[in-house]
Order: sequence, then C-alpha cells, then structure tokens
Amino acid sequence: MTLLTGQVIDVSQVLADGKPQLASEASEITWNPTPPFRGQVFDDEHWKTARKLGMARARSSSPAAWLAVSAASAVKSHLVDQRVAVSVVSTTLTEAVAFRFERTGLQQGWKLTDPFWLPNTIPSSSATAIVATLQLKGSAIAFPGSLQGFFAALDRSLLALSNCACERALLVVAEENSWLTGELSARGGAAVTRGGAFAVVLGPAGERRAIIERDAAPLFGPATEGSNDVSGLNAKPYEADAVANLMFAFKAGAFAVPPTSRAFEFVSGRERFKVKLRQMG
Amino acid sequence: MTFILPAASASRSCLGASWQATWHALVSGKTGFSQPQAQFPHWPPGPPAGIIEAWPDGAPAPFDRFRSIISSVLQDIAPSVFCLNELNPGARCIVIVASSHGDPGPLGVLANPTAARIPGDVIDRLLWDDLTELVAEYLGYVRLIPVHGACASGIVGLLEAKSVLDSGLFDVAVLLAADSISLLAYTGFQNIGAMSKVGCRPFSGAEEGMTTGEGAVALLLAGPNCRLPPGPRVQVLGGACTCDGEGMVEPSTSGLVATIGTALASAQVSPAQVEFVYWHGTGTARNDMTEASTARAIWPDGNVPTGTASKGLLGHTMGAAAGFSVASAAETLVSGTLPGIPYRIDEKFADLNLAATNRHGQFTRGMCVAMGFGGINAAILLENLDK
Repeated sequence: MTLLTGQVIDVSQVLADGKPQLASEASEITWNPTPPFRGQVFDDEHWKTARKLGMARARSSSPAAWLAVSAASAVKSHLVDQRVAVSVVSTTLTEAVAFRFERTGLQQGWKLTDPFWLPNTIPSSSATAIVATLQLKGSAIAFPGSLQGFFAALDRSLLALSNCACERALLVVAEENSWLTGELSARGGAAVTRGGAFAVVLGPAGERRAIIERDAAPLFGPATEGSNDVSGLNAKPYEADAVANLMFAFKAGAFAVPPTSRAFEFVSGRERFKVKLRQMG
Repeated sequence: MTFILPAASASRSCLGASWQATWHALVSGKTGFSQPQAQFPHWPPGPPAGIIEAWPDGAPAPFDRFRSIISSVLQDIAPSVFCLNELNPGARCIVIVASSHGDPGPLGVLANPTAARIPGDVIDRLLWDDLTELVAEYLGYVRLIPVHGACASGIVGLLEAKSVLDSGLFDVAVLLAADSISLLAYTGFQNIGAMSKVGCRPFSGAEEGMTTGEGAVALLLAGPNCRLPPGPRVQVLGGACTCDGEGMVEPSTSGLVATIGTALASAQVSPAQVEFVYWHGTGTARNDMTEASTARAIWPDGNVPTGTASKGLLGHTMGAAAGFSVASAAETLVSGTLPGIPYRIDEKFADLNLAATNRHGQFTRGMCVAMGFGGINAAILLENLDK
C-alpha cells in the first residue's frame, strides 16, 4: 500500500459542535420546492451575502461558487503568502447557471442572457474565484462532485504537497441545493441533500497534527445498486452529505477523542475508496 | 520520467476521424470549419464552428455527443494500451479525463422548454453519471480521474498524469482531453463578443475572434519503470499550471510569463533551449497580444523560437485544445515537421517568429502553452529522447 501524508491544519471553523455545518453566514440556502422551470432561483439576500465576500461578478455565479469562496475564506489565515494548490469538488455549481443560460436564451432570446454566465458554467470557475477573491498564489482546478471526484482532489492535494508543487493544499467541497438539484434528486429517486461547503487545508509533514493515509490504487468490486458505503456513511449523488461526514470523521480523528486512528471505506458503484486518518502526538 | 508514446495517439476532430487524419490536415493547412446549423437546425444563426461532421453511424444526438466522441478515441487507443500492458504484466493503469465543462448533453435536454417531458436517462446521467463504466467498455475497470482546468485542461490533465506516474503510484496513464460543442458554448462565446464571424485566424490581425469547436484526443503515457514497445518516445520534461486570478475571461501577460518561467525551471530548460512553441492562439485580440508580449518577456533578446498555432484550422476545442497542442508537439518532435500558419500573419506579431509555412528539421525540444477562463495558465516542455 502506498502511503501519502498530509496535514489537516484546520477544519474546526467549518465543522463545529459535533455536527457537520455550513462554513459561514452563507448558510441559508434551502431547497425551494418551486415546481420545475418556474419561479426565481435565488433571492437578493443570497446575492448580498455573495457580494460581501468580495467576489467579482457574484450575481453571475452560482451559490455553490460563493459557498466555496466562503468556506475558503474561513481558512484564509493558513494560506497567506503560501503557494496553494486549490482543488474544488462540486457537481451543482455549474448546473443551475448553465440551465438558466440555456433556458433564458431559448425562451427570452440570447441577448437577454448574462455574458458572465458563460465563464461560470465551467467547473473551474469556483476554484479560480477562490484564488481571485482571496488573492492567493498557486493553481486552481476542479473536480466533479462524486466520491470519485473527491478522492481525485484529495490525491491531487497530497501529491502536490509531496512533490513540493505547493506549500499548502486547499481542498474545498461545495454543493448548492437549488430547486433544480432538488427536482432532479426527487425525480431520480435520490434523497435531497443539504447544500453546503467545507474547506480543509493540507500542509507538509513537520507541522502535522494528523496524517491522512490514502491507498491510491484502484479497488474495484462487484457492482452495487447505486451508491452506498460499508462504513455507514452516506454516499449520495450529490455528495455534500457524504463528504461532510467524511470531514466530520477527519475532525473527530484529528482533534477530538480516541480512537486516534480511523479507517474509512466508501463505495460508489464498483469503486471503493479507502482513507485512514491517524492522529499525531 | 514520464513518456508519451506518439504512435498510440488517437483523436476525433473537425479535421478527421483519427489522429493521423487530423495531423495530415494540420500539415496541409486545411480548415475544418462549417456551419453548425446543418447538424443543429434549431440553433440560432451565427458564425462557423469547428464541429465534427463525419459520423460513420450517423450524427449522435446532442445528448450523446460527448460520450460518442470519447468512445471513438478510447476505441482507437485501446489496442496500444493493451500492448503496453502485455509488456508490463501487472501494470497499474489510470485514465485522466480532462475537459473544460464536461458533458453538456443532459443539461441541454433539460433546458429545452419545448421538451414534453424529461426522459429518465437524462436525470440519471445528471445524477449518477461518471465515466467509469464507459471507460471500462474499452479499457476495463481502471482508476479514473476527471479534472477540469478550463481551456488549459489538456495540460492540466497531463501534469496530473505526470504526477501520478513519476510518484510510482501508477505505471500507465491515458490522458483523454475532450469537449463537445453545445448550444451554451456556441451562443455564450458570441454573447461575450469573442467569436470570429467567418472563422478564426490567430495572429492575423484581420479577423479578430475565436471559433468554437469540439474534439477529443487521447495520449498514451508510460511511467519511468515501464518497458516500452519499439517506436518513438517523447519525454515530458516538466511543466506548470497556475492561476493568476486577474480576470474571469481576459488573459494576463504577467500570469503567463510566471507560468512559463516555472515550467522552464521544473524542466530544467533555459528559454534558449526551446526550439518551437505551440501557442494557445485563440484568435481574440487579447489572446494574441498577451502571447506576443509574453514571448517578448521570456525571450527579451528577440530570439523567440519558431511558433505555431492550430486553432485557425481546428477551432478552439476548449478542454481538448491543449491536448491537441501536446499531441501535435509530440508529432513535430518525431516527424520533424512543424505545421505552418496558412494565412497572412500581421506584422505586429513579426517578433513572435511564427511559421508562415511548414518548417522541417531535427527538433529536440518544444513547448506548449495554454490559457483558460479565470486566469488559468499552463505550459509544458517536451523532449524527443531518440534524437
């Protein structure tokens, strides 16, 4: 088994009170059960919060994007003057914007679409928004919001640290729960999950408080019905809850109570993802 | 060390159904632009695009277009992957899927207000889809990493592949850089005033704007401990991907200069040792000026290596674009041909030393440059080990 190490510097600001929580005041997004294709997607209060974050063109971006920026802002103090590898994991951050662009264009005409919707329909827009808003130095890429995407981002972060390609790795997971995602989940027979965002900063060995051990080799087993996991944690199509639980487990393993070492296995389809967290000192 | 095996490269583009066809068209100076309305009658009128026209089994519906393009290149590269695996029993294989926006098909169906109902498979694709099963049809079950790095995704993915191969975690990697055209991209680029009305001509100064396109390219990569089949090998010397965060859609000279400097340092190559450059070359005024000023900063003595750009023929294939540049650079290294730019180059870009005609020679070392929305910059250095 190949071991990669990294440091969980701070998750306490985004996970508190023994329960996964949203990262900041941007926590009021709820699923608006408006029938599909009608009604307003987001209200002005959401945009006011987005503007407070200092995001450029916040109104043209998605709530998931500003949730991501919000979560990253909570751990900004660990990122100043460092070369940072920013990885954002999300499925929903482009869906609503892309949908709104096409629906507006087709129904009302393309001239009425917002020109800045286009750059917000690509997943990396959230990662680059974090770099721009927090004025970071480093790289910014994005991964789709599945367990596959999450573990790809985690492995990328750990490899970037071990290769000295960065001094800190910022891993952000952000999902919004718009009426669109709620509608899709309901129609697809999947449970509606909460929106939210989580940020973890990983650093080099030496400052470590906990070590993440990842078996990066592919592990495939028999196909499962949809997604489930063997450790009792959730792995739903929109993975915010699953990843929230994983992050919560990280926190518990890193900062709180024994046992000091925990292993987790997630299963999504045929793929199995293993991760182990070990407390130091 | 990470190697590209150029003989295994596969692609699908408006220039042809194989990498060989695409390369031949690039060398011949043939453009692949056409009006997308021929395939998509409901699309609004607009400029030409670099869309794939030749579909042996009939053009797929927009819903299936992304997966159809990916399937065709996976089918083409699979024999080479199996050959490499036979030489290296027990080799661990990984597939990196690099795209700018991923599969736009399901959402396009969902957004259509005239649709009577939403088919269940559209919802399933949006909720559950990952590409593992599709890749498994051709390569078996392998670890798959999907990555999004805007229009620099091809190089971003290649750097991810190099990272996992150099670390020894995996032995064989397939980089699959792909994007399909969509109504969103076609109209979106028009909305921001970035599209050329008649077809882009980067660095010409005459027709400002880009031409959106689609395509996929697959590259076979081997790690340092792999036994390689006979044939040419190209080493990935090093590279860099950074985000300058200076603009959502505008490129930045300082950001690109810093990225190229980091890439050169990681490859342990001096600017003078670079023999050719595949520039990003979208054709927008900002892109062209940014790359020209970048060249002047990296090579202040004026000895800029010969440059070229392929988007005037291929269109801007978005997430696949940098993959096409890397495949082309690898082909240039092994074939000794650098495709020229088959139209007049504006005098204001004279000091970029762009190739007006095909250049032939014994090339050893080249560089590819890419830029993407949000200030993503990427550069990579390649070397021919056999020369």
